[in-house]
Amino acid sequence: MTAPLLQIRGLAVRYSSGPVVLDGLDLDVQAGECLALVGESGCGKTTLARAVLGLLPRHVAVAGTIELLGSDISHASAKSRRALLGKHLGYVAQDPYAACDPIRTVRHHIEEAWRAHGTAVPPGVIEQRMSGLGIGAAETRLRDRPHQWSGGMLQRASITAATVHDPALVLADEPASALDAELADGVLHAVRRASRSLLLISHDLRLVENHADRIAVLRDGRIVETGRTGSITTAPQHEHTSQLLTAADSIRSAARPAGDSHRPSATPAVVTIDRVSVTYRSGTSTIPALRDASLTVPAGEIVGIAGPSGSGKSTLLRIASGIEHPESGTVTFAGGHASAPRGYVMPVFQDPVASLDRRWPIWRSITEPATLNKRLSRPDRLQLASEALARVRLGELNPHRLPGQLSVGQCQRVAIARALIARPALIVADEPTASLDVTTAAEIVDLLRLTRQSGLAIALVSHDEALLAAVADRIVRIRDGRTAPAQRPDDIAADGADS
Amino acid sequence: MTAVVPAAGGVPGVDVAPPAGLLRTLSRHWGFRVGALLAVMLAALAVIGPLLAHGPNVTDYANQLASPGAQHWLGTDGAGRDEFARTVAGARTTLGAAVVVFALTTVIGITVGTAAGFLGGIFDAWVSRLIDLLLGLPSLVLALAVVGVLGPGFSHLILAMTLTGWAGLAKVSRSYTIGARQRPDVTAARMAGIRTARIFTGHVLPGAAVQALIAATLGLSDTILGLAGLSFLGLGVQPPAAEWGSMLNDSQLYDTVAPWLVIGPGLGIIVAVTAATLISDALRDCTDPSRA
Amino acid sequence: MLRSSAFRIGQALVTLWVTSVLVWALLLLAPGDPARTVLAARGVADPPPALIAATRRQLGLSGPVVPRYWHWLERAIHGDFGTSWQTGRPVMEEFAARLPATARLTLTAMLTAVTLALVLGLASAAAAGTWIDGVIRTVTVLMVVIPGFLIGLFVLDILVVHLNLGRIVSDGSWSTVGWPAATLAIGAAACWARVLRVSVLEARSASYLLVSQARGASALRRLFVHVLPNAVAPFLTVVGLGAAALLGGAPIVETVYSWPGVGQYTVQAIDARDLPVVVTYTMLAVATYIVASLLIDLALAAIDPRLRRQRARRTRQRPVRVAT
Repeated sequence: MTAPLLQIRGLAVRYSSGPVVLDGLDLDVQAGECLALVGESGCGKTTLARAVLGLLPRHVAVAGTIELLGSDISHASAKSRRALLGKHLGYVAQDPYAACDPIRTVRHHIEEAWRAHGTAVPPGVIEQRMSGLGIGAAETRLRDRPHQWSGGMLQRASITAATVHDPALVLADEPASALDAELADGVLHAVRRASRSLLLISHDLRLVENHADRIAVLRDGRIVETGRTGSITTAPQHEHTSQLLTAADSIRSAARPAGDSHRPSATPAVVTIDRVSVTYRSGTSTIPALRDASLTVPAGEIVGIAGPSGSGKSTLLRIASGIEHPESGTVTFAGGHASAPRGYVMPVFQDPVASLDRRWPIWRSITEPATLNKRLSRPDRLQLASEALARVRLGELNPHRLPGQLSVGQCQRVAIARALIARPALIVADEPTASLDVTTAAEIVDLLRLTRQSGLAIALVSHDEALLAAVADRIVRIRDGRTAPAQRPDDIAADGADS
Repeated sequence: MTAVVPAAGGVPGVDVAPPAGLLRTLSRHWGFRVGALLAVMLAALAVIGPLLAHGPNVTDYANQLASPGAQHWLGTDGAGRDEFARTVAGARTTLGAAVVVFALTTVIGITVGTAAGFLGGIFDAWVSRLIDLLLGLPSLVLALAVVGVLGPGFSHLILAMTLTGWAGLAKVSRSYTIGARQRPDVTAARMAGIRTARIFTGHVLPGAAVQALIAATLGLSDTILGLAGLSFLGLGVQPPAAEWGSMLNDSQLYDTVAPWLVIGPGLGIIVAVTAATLISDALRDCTDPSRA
Repeated sequence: MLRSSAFRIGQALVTLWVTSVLVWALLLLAPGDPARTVLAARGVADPPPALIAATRRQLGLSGPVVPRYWHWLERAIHGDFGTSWQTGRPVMEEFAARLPATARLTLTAMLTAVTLALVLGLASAAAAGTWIDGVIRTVTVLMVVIPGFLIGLFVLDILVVHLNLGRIVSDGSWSTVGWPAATLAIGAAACWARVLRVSVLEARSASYLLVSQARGASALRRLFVHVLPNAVAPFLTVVGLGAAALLGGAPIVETVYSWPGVGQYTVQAIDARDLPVVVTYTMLAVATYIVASLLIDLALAAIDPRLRRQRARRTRQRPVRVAT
């Protein structure tokens, strides 16, 4: 067996303030393969990447060996490290916008790969590589500044910059997680194509499934399992791997609760949106957000709204919640109202922490809707809050806490508790799981399924097709502001993915 | 936190830290501690001082320009008045004026700024133009213009500093309010049917007020220097009232024979501005998310 | 780019015009009878009504306000700002005579301040966290908290009178500009140095530097290609605003050193309630400030293209303090 390209033995990293981030880690990357390093947030993935690159901050104690192509790079001098970086080791960062100097052009960003080593930039190479990654007509566009490019394109530019010297190993630290999920696959594909060997870091097992040859699972600073992709995903040995798989699967699960599929469509609609149009004015240009869009949400159902970014999903949701009014078309709420009665519709947002007032203890946020018509005393509100917390399975949480002291998942539950207190007929959820890692997202989805059982309707926007397929009773697709008639997920699966 | 959660700090309308947490963080900042200590000492001097000294306006021509000694701790000025007493009285005048300007600019700034941000429309358009105009002009020139046109005088001085100081606070309050209008928690409250006024007082006003107070504190050192400077030019308090700036102006006449007259007011200004600067530096350190 | 420049220029003109309106509005609020005040300043203690009326006519204070304003505005655009109530000579003449002295003072102060700020700011940023940084930061704080007039008094008192290190006579020429310029520069330099330090430190902690390093870029390259250009923008903004404020006449330093400039003249005029002088000073100082800010805005837009489309003018976040 040939020697591995990258060989890490006993890597231990400790910050001077105490925490041990990596604890005796062993890892191999073979030449020509793509190894995916998967783990939850905080498990040390990024620290590992920086340790391999040799770019850890100063007050960090590093022990163990890292060998690239047979030579030890963990204790290399600054000069030899500089010769390595960019030429033999490539790096793709998570956020393409943060990776680029905002006052320099994109071309400068890519050309730095040569300039940093004092070599001249060979003509035509950049354009060639960019079109290889799917970006044509690069010549003029390269003169743009980073903020003028879309996330997907800019990440491809970063990938180009990282791979121009065809380094033996490329390290990609969550290259797709700062982008819209529908672009993720494309970017991962691009980075795999551009690299000879790739160490791909991610928090989502299912996402890397299609791109990695082998998977290593990282937990609490150690590798707990390694193996070929196929065997790990079908027969995981370690329980943490199973946990990660289950979490990733539960929101994609094809198993739906029995008795769901055949619901009579004669249930009264909570809201009916009929052929509405909305246009936004920005400066001198007008952007049509919705064109003759329609949506019906029957009581007690979860309606999913799917579509690419910029298609008008959020606008449609805002119309459904009654906080925005269309220019044409009608919106009718149950009982024939043209505008939403107070507390009829309640929201759940993408950023759970921001959706709660940062200075208010959570009991105050949760019970705010209850103060609508009556004056409640503080003990009453505290009691109400405790009950609400129990309903969202946060019964043990101290209601006096501030949102900043809770985890993201807990904040989302609190937001749902607040929504429920208003006793709404409809909950509008705009990407409620997009900011959550796989495990937490699964929990929130479960919670939403539960609330639906009390007769509540949910309108759910998500870019995650699998999530919608697993949870929604019907799905409405929207593209360029136009809606297609709602379909049941089973019907969609039968049609195949063609939209 | 997971890698994908967007950062909320630095976004207008979102507070960086709730006030209780802010005070706690501040109290650990050594600059804040020193500054607060100096401020307390000055306040004590202003309050207790008059009890310890002779009257600041009691003239004693037999005893002009006496050097510091047991009778007069900081000596006497050209009219035989006790310099220490005048320094203490000056503390009340200068610092009192600074506090008044602080209070006035904060109240005006918060009121105008939040109203403009919340009401929007034509009112907001005109107000924000006015604010940008005032902020686009050099404050010292404006203050001079105000005092120059209205005439020298203590109240005119305070008016001048207030007129040049409120705009920055209004801008801060306004941008906070506008940001807060879009905030998800405000949207949730709106959808729950909570009345607009209550949303304003519960969600928006506290945060806007804190931002304005922080901005006002950042400008406090400039206010004190402005007050002292304009008084030094003779445009503020008129004799024989005691004020640090005008006392320094008087001391110019006697700098060859009685150089000690600079000590009281000079040290007073330096200590006051140091306290204000240290406190505002600490505030900036503790509220800037990128430096946390 | 051309369109936004034209927009900014238009904005500047509007600002100037509104300033003139505001100043005139203030004039209306001025307490007391200006005719009496001027006569009092001239030494006439209790003027008879006829004299007051005559003085009022003479000073152009009679008649409705709006026509008087337009009349003034018309003449002002042509450079005629009326006559001084103290001396009777045209105000522009008085200003023109004193402008060179102020210009010398502020130019020297500006150069000194920028140089000093660069040295102190870059040094403390480079040595961040070490004792050198601590020393420089303490020194800059001291420079900021000691007001200009106090430094001026100290200089005049100790160094000039007792130690005979400089010329006491301030005649507005290049040979005596040293101490006044230094005094004026100290506060501004300290303020700018602090801003520079902070912006360099912030630029140094940017995430794209890690990526740049991962490509093999040396520390030197990262500093000159990425850190400094990004750090310069906030620094230039503050310098621009401060420089323009310096040009506003630095009245306090001029008064302390008896420097025969525009600022000192205006302070005297305020004492004598010579309102045409005050109004002229305000308009000239504001105009200078606006022009300088405009130039800085354009320079910044050339460096950082994200600012090019911005319609909002770069306004000061906090009052710019100078020469106090």
